[in-house]
Amino acid sequence: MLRKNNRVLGRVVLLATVTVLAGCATSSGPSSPPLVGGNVQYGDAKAVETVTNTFGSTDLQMIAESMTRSMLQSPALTAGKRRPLITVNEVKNKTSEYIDTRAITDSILTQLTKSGLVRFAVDTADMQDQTEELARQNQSGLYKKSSSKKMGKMEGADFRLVGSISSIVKRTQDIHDVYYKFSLRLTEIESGVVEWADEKEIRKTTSAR
Amino acid sequence: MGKQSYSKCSTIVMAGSMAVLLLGLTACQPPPQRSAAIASKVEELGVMLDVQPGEIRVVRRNNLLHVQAEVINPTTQDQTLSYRFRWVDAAGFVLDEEAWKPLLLHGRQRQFLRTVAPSPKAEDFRLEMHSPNNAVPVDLSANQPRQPWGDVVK
Repeated sequence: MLRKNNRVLGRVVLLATVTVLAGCATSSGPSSPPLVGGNVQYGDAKAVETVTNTFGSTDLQMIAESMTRSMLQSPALTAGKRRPLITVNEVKNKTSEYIDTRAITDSILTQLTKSGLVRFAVDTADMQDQTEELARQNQSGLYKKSSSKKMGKMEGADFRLVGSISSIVKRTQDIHDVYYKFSLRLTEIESGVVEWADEKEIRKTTSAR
Repeated sequence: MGKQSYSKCSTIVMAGSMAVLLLGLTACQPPPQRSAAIASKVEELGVMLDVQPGEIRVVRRNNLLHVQAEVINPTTQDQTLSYRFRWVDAAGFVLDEEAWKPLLLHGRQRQFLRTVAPSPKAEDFRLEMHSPNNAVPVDLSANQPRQPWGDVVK
């Protein structure tokens, strides 16, 4: 009888231990504290950034938004029944600093695509990947003929987007002034007519006082 | 000489008291009350005492919502302002978030913020504004009557 009681007591203790350990394992999951080190914190990616007066995130966002909204008002894009097809050409960086102009055109492309009013054809930068993919589907012998995409079916763009960014920098002992001008043009490829153009100007001044 | 210096001292004390009183009154200045139509469209991050939202015009052209909002700087000093539009679809869902845009308003200047909706899906909007140099917390501004400004024109 005593041995039986001891066995029951042993099982109860074992069960309790397992329960406590399982409880510990569960509690260390979702409620575990975040790993914190140094002074790292997340910020607002859309906030006005004025850390220095070189080209920054706010400039990129303002330019992309301004160009997109202006382009959406162009009759060349909205008048026809068919959604026009655009290809992005180069945006030249004529400033003295490094600016990733591809990031600006990518933002413009994303916002215009989201509007649902225009479509984009593959541009020169992506053409290599596009042709390689088509060649792989058609020439490697790895794909079913019924599902591989045919050669010679790519659509030619109606318009091409081309632009430039330039700057004027003035500096004294106390003041550093930068003026940026971003210009963008939409040209109809067949006729060569510029159907839309706009500019965005930004002035940033840093004062030592 | 002693009397003169006492009089000068009392003048300074009085001027100081007046300055403190004026500062106190300025601090207690009732924040502006917006008209209901403006208030329904403008969201301020802290009620702005110096920069004022003016008339807002809304029109739909080519299936896109066009908005023109006036902002006024009634003071003689330059004021900075950050703003962005928040677009909402027919179901009340917010479309993509815009970036905050900085704006410099010269003294006594009125400027128009003009924009167009990013997509035909946008049916309504809110104008978020923040003027970091002259904002007071929202809870201090409750129930303070003041002349309303502008109106929303459709």
